[in-house]
Amino acid sequence: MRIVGARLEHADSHTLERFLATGGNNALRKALLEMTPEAVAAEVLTANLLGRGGAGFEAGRKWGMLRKAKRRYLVVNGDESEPATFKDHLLVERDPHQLVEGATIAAYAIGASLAVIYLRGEFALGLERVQEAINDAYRIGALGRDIFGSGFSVDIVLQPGAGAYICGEETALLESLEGNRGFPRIKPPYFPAVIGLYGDPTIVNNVETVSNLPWIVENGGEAFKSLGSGRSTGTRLFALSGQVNRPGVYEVEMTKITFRDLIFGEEFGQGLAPSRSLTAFIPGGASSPWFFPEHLDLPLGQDEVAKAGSMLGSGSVIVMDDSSCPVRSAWRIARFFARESCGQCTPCREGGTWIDRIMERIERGNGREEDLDLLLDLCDNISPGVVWPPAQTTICVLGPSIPPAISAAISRFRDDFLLHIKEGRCPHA
Amino acid sequence: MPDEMVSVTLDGQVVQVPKGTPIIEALDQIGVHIPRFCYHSRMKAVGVCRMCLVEVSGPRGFSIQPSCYLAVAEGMEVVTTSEKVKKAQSGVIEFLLANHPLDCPVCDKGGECPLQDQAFAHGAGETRYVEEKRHYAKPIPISRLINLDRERCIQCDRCTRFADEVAGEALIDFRGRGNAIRISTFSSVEFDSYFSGNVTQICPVGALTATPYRFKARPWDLTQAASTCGWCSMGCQVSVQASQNELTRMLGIDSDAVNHSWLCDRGRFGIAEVNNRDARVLVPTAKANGIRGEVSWASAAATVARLVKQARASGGNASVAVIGSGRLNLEDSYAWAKLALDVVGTPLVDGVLGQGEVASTWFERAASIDQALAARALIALNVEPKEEVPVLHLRLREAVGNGLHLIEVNSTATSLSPMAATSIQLSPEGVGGLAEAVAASLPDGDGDVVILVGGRNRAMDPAITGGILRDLVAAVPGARILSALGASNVHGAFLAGLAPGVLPGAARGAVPSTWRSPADSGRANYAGILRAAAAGEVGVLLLLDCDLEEVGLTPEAIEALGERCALVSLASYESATTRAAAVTLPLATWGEARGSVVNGEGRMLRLGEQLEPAGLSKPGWVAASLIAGDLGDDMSILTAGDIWAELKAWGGAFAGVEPSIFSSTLDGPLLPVARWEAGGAPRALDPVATPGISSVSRQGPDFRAGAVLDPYAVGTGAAPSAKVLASGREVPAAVASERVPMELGVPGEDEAWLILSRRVYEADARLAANPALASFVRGDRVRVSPARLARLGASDGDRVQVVGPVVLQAVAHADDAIPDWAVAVEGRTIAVTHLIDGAGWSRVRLERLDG
Repeated sequence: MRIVGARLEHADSHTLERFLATGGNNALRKALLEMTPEAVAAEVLTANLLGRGGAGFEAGRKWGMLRKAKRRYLVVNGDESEPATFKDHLLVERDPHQLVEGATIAAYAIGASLAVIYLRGEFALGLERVQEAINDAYRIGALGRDIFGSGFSVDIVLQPGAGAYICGEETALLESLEGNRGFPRIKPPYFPAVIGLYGDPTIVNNVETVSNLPWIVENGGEAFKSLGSGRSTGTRLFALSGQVNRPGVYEVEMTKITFRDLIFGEEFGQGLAPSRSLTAFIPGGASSPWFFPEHLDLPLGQDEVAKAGSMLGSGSVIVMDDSSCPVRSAWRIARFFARESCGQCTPCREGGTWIDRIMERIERGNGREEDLDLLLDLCDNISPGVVWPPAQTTICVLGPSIPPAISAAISRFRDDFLLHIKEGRCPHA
Repeated sequence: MPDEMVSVTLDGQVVQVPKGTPIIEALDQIGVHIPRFCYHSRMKAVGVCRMCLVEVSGPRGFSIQPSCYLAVAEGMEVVTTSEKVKKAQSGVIEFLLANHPLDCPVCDKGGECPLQDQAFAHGAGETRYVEEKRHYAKPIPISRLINLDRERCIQCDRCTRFADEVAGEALIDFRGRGNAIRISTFSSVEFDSYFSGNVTQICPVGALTATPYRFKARPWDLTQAASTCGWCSMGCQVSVQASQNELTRMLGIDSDAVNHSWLCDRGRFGIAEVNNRDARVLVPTAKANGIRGEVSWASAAATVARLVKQARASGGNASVAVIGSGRLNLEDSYAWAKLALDVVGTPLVDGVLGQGEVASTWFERAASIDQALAARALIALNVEPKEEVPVLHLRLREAVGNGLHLIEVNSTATSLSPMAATSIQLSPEGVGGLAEAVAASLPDGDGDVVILVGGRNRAMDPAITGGILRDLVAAVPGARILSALGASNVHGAFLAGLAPGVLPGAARGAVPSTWRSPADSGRANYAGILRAAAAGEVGVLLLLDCDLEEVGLTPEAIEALGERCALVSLASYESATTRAAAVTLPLATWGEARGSVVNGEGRMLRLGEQLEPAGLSKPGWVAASLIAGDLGDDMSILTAGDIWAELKAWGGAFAGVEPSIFSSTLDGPLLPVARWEAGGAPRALDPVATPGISSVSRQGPDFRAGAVLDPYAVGTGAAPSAKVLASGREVPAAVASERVPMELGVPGEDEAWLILSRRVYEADARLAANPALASFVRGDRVRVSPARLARLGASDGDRVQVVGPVVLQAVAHADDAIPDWAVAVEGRTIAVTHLIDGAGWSRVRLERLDG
């Protein structure tokens, strides 16, 4: 079952011609000409579309929290920059018109007169194609003033990011849009739906979330909800990477397959290299707690994964086999977040780098036994209790993204750490 | 309207606090101190240091939250003592110390460092950090006054917030991110702000230090006293600190009514000139046969008395004249007013350099700063607060941000212009109808209209401003006035009676028995007095902390004046005036004598004492008392207490003034004390916002008996040492001019009106004596409208000369902001003031220099 990836079977899926030949803008016409904004929002609420950016909050409920105001904004978050997360990358390059159509529908539903698509600056081709799609939409009357004669007008602006991962954090993204440093805002009170871009209420939705909207409008919220089960409705894109034979982006109906299916299934990851065994996998992006072989039979559903102590997050599944060094893996994750810290608040700026340095020392063979307790305690000072979902002493969740990997690695692979320390080298090197 | 109160539970204690109060302030109020770094009560909370984490109840149970950022809400519960809170706080301390150098023993902040103190209170005591610390080149001089040590920096965002939010000059900002985030200036642009010193005061570590204070002292070795900054009439409350009889540092005290803890650099670093003994007048001198030699105080006072007697004998009382700059403190001003008006009996008294016109309109309508900033509209007349009363500029920026309606009346665009709702040009042609135009621009609504009046254009006699002010008060019934007039105590001098047409207290009642029959100083004006002196009608000219160069006389003119009459200079700093004077009396300067001043809102403020007066300097009232004694009338002033008793007897502004008045307020009372509501809760001093000054001692005026000191302290004798002065020079035309202020006349075809804007860094004798600040004087600059420049056949960048009483040659800049009728001049040396012709609004000719 494909929704957001339906058009991708065509090599020219990014062109206006293919877009229009495959039902493009039908949903937009339907929404604008036959439905009220409230009706569109109601369908999305019915669909129980969960946000695809990481937090998994219901998009319909988020829209419902939008403060009433004269000006409202829609911001589409396409600042996808985390290691092993690359699903939005595919959508912006291969189906930019669907994104523009979805953004226009969302703007209509929430009453936004301006929508901004904020794309990771390194997406050179994506930026080019989304801009073309925006230009196309203006040309055929699907964007701008009085769209399709409906009386509804909205503009979409494409904004490239400037290379900071933190700008994918929605409030840092808004700061960046306003021309400021990408420092996350403190919530409360700066929930974008209440105080967002330029102080006005703003909805920030992920690229994949928005790309689902045309299908939902065309087929109805009930049809979407009939896919998947429980709160996990519709399909999701999963970016599979790591030590797996066939990494890639797979669109699957939610809860219908397990991690074992995704990693080992013939139509998906096709398993590991010969004679390798799986030691761990990360189910929802670098910041999520690690899973191990005993979790392989969990279905790909939001609540199922949460109940098991992790998250589906951004849909990035990273596979590790027994040839990989868990210390090194955890270090790489810590280093990524430490380097991408905005530096605004103390625990993340100082704690992140400190953990990175200790992990580097251990991996290079200069570790001390007491470093393990120190690491866990530093994690505790960034994310009290090192619990899931994480508590935080920080402003945003970037800092608390480090502890899950560190604590998972230490608790599961303590012997590996001790071996590094005892032998003064990495046993996997 | 009373604030809406909410009920919150703080560590089990149920309290009522105004809605919107940050949790950290609510906790402060019940005496629970939460450690903090980035929080500053005068700036927006940013919640970045994470030091003030506490547990706060919310919809999903308790969570760790920054108490500086989150406001109290009805029913909220806050826990500050849990293990979770303690762990989080000690964790943050450990993180902050991870990369912080262990150089406390050589750090200027050591001993008064919030990081040091809070690490002791909330940290673990031992470090677990064994990695390499961050390294940066250091220190980096980010300006001529400020050094940056990036290794010590804890990225609290205080300095950067101050620069952007408070000063409006975002010249420093964060650069880089994560572990590499650091404070930086932009490219090679200096952190050149009048307010830069504040960042050294609010820095919670030793990352930002002031060059003049670097390695000068340890904080625990400093003595300190509460005082009032002596630079302008804002009256910023300060802690003045000293070590080994030298002023070492000045810190702003958070006075809610006045300066909100901020200072300008001119004030903060002004102590460097006090310390500069080479520039000071240290001993009394007298001229004998044109040669200046050191004499004893007794001899000097006797000489002055003899000169006064001689002048009166030959030319009557009016052959003695007094000009003061408005810098003498209240006690000194009063004693000199009594000496001049009552003992000598001269009507020629202008102790406020012509600003008496404005002051006389001001006092009865005086508005406090708070009232002015909360007014329906504030009319800024001939004033640029940033250059004249800089800290008011900061308060004004905040008020405009909160919706204050500002109407600007100046000759050219100023730093007010971007904030002003309306800007009305103050032009020589339009002086007549100006008040009506301003009144017509007022917004509708209730509430006071306040006029902020200053002396921006120095080439315009303050009497012109005074006239416009009178018109404005008539055109806007009920308007009140906040004064931004120049010198620190010009308002106190006026209220002490040392100004034309006023008696002490600005009183109109009976003359107290301690006075006989004061002369009527009427409409005396310094310019008129100078003309009379130049015409030989004045025998003795008493100059009270007044350098005549500052009002436009060239050194040659001053010398020539000294040959027409006997100049007596009471001064702290050597200048062309002291060198030309027949007698020079060393005056104890700021920091050397207790006393009081009155600021532009009519608030009486204390001056603290931290130094022995330099050399044989004495307080000004002591000098007056000595001279009076030699005139056969000791004025019954033997202590400052005598002065206060007389002030009270005069009543008026001083009705009800008791020595105890200062003990009931951190700030100081508004005069008359009846209009001031005493007893407002003093603002708690934030130990982090103002490190080291929470225990500052508050000195009142000096009531010590016998403070006259030893009137017979002897100098080193009368050995002739100074240069022999040239004689017989003619008095220059500028001084002899007979033009009358207010009659502006019509400029000739090639003439223009002069705009000489007052600057924070004025090239006067005191600034020249200040090694920390002397380099900040701007270079010579002549700005004219492009049209005028074109008429001259010159273009932008050509050399021109400005011809007035002197000739100034400089590069001309075409500037649209300058009206066509004007020439705007600023200069590196005091010489630009010599363009002032002393005739109302000075006129100059502009000429093109060939080649």
